[in-house]
Amino acid sequence: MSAELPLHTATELLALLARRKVGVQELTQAFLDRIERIDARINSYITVTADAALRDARRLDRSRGRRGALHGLPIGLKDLCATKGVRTTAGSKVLADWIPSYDASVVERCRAAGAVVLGKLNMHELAYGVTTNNPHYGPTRNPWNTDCVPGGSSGGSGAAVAASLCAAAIGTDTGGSIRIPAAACGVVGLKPTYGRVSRHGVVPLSWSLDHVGPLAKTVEDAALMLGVLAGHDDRDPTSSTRRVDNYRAALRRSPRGLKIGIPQEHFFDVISDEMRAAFDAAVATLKRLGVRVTPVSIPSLPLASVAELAIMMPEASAYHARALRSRPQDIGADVRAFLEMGRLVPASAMVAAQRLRARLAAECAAVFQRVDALAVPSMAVPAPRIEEATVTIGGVVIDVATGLSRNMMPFNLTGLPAIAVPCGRSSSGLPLGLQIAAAPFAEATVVRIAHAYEQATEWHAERPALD
Amino acid sequence: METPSDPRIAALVALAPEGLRPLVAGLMQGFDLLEQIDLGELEPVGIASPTGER
Repeated sequence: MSAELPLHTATELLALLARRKVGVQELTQAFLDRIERIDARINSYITVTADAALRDARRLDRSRGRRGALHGLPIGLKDLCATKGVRTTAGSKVLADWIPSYDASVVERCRAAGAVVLGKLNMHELAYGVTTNNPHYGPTRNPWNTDCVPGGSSGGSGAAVAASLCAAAIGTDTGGSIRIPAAACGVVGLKPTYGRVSRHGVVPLSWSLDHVGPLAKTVEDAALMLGVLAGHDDRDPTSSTRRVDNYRAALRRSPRGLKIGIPQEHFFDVISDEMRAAFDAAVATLKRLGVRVTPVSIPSLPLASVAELAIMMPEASAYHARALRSRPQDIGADVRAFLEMGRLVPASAMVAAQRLRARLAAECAAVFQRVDALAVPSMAVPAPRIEEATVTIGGVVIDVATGLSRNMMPFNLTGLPAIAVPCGRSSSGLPLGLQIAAAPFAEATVVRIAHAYEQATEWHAERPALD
Repeated sequence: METPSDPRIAALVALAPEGLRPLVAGLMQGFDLLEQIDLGELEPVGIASPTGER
């Protein structure tokens, strides 16, 4: 039975643990054994903390007190979440020897809820990219086809969840970095509202665009994780004081009668035929569930990506300025080029982008007066091959970064909650993703719709053949 | 790829690795476009009072 345990969802594992059908040590060992057996092919972990995980597991097995919401659940952390006593590289050579003296707030919350940390997950260097082709720790590979990227920057998180190398994972999302790997790896990725989950102790890429959130096998698992991660934190100046909703309770409510808008701008300008067909089929499923669907207009959407980059690039260059000056040779070529370029973005363009951001937020607010959520495709194409620099969509050649992130960035710029859920397979067998977004702090609506869609389909139940 | 006519853009494009040059060229033109949009009296996101009051 042990070898099969990691294939379960987090919710199923927690039920087994609660009924004492399995112990925390047995479960933790089952994941560690699977990592040992499979991760050489995937390279999802930078550091596996086997001894600490087993020590925590023994302690949890012996504990007789109140059980936390994640009691005994083995999870993985993107390697930019500070972990006390465990090196935290942010996927970079610059931070290769950094051993923090504290845990990030999200790590504290997971540990307090009883999670067992299996280790630190690979990522695109400094979270600045969408492939997880990491020059220092090696590329992470997509469990559905190891010749392909898992997306990024939380590529290790997406791949580890898809390959059942952890029960759930933490990722971060500045321009799609939770939702891209979720879509590429056929799992669920939930980017909460800006300010909903603390960024304290998470190595920044862009302060005003960074979000922290879960990747998991199902929407229910993601809702469970968000319930643990969300909440006010004095140590993050942008942390919200709003009450945290009961996300799991929201899953029990039918989406019947909810109204979903489909933006007419941007999302369908560049999209593969397969992704378009999968999206249309997903919308048909939502309609069968009683959701009303209507076209909506958000005129500033076509400028969202360039505005996002006009903000992200200078913020990233400002944060990494010292490393760029003192250790440029230790930064990979693509990330170094972006950091150099960020110093040269005109300040007036950055301010214009912040003004456009205000206009886009106002346009979205007006739309959410009429609809409960938005539905759009996740990535425009399935995961590209590791060596590919460009993808061709409907005869148009675009760079990989644009192809994977263009549908994600509007929700970073506006800070709106958005989830990626699997919604199909390409002709080559790679996952395709649906994205649901909603008004600020309406995560309960996002998971309610996504869960109903997921339960009406079978995509979430499929696992890559790795055994 | 066409060489950008604006020397500032050309210099930035030259900084980028080969595979990223079309992206960078497009971006720099996008930044230029951003500055040309009429945003009326709209104030930017992210400007807080220096006193910390909101």
